[in-house]
Amino acid sequence: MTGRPLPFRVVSGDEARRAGLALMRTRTFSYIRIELPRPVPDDGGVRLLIEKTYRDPKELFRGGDFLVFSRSLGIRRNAIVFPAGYEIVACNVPAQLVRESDGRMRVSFMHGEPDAVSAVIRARKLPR
Amino acid sequence: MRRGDQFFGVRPDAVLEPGAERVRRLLQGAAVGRDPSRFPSLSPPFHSAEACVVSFFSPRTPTLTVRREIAKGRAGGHRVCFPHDGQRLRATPNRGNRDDRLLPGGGGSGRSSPGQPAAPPVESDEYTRYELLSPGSSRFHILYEVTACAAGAKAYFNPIRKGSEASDEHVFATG
Repeated sequence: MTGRPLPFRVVSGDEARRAGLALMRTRTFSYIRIELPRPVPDDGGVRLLIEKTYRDPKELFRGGDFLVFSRSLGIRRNAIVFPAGYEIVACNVPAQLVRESDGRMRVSFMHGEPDAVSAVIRARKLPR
Repeated sequence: MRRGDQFFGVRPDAVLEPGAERVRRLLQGAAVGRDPSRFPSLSPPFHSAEACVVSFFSPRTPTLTVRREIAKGRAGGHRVCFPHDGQRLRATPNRGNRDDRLLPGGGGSGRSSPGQPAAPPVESDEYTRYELLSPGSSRFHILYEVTACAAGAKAYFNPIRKGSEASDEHVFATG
């Protein structure tokens, strides 16, 4: 099943709640409901790759001469790849800086905080 | 107990009575009390049901409240957090603080109240890669890898944050 596309649809928080998702933020979030290819087995799992594109001016914006990525990250393992031609100048979490094969800079880190980390990363455009 | 099993002098029994008193002393200790921000998180390698993680988010930590919570046994199996100023103390399940949980067949929250046993995790081994798109567009591409591990679940819910416009969604089974 590797790489097999899965059916999904975007549902409202209320619909997610009716489907059994009863969480603190259920009503205020919308959700991608993904139909799994098989029920999750006992002591097993179903590995997924979810791709999506966000537009959020509050999380990715220009601040002065900088391109700023500011986002609360609940997932522990993260990588942020900046556009080509930008260099990282500030990062408020311990991270690795890696140059991708195409020249883009990647900020990679794993945080150990019990709650989400508010990551703020700044980059500036390199002179041509 | 080996020296390596200790963490800032707190042993695995430190959250038990009278161990709670030991935690209180740690919290009020000179080094931590003066500057809690130096210790953003104390995560002793506890493995017992009484395990907890003590986290500092504010210099004004409600130490006595936490001691009382521990003494009541309400911290058992939970993470005791010191929230930001102005927020109430809370205890959360001793696992990732995530909201996008799904229990098989529905009917569960995946989030326990204080005093309740922690619900089993419904996802694991998560990794997110953000690819920032053209500057000025405020758009970024997200590749999120996750293992749905709630036994019996037939669907998985991935949240779309409030305030974010999502597009170009695709989902693949990779294993």
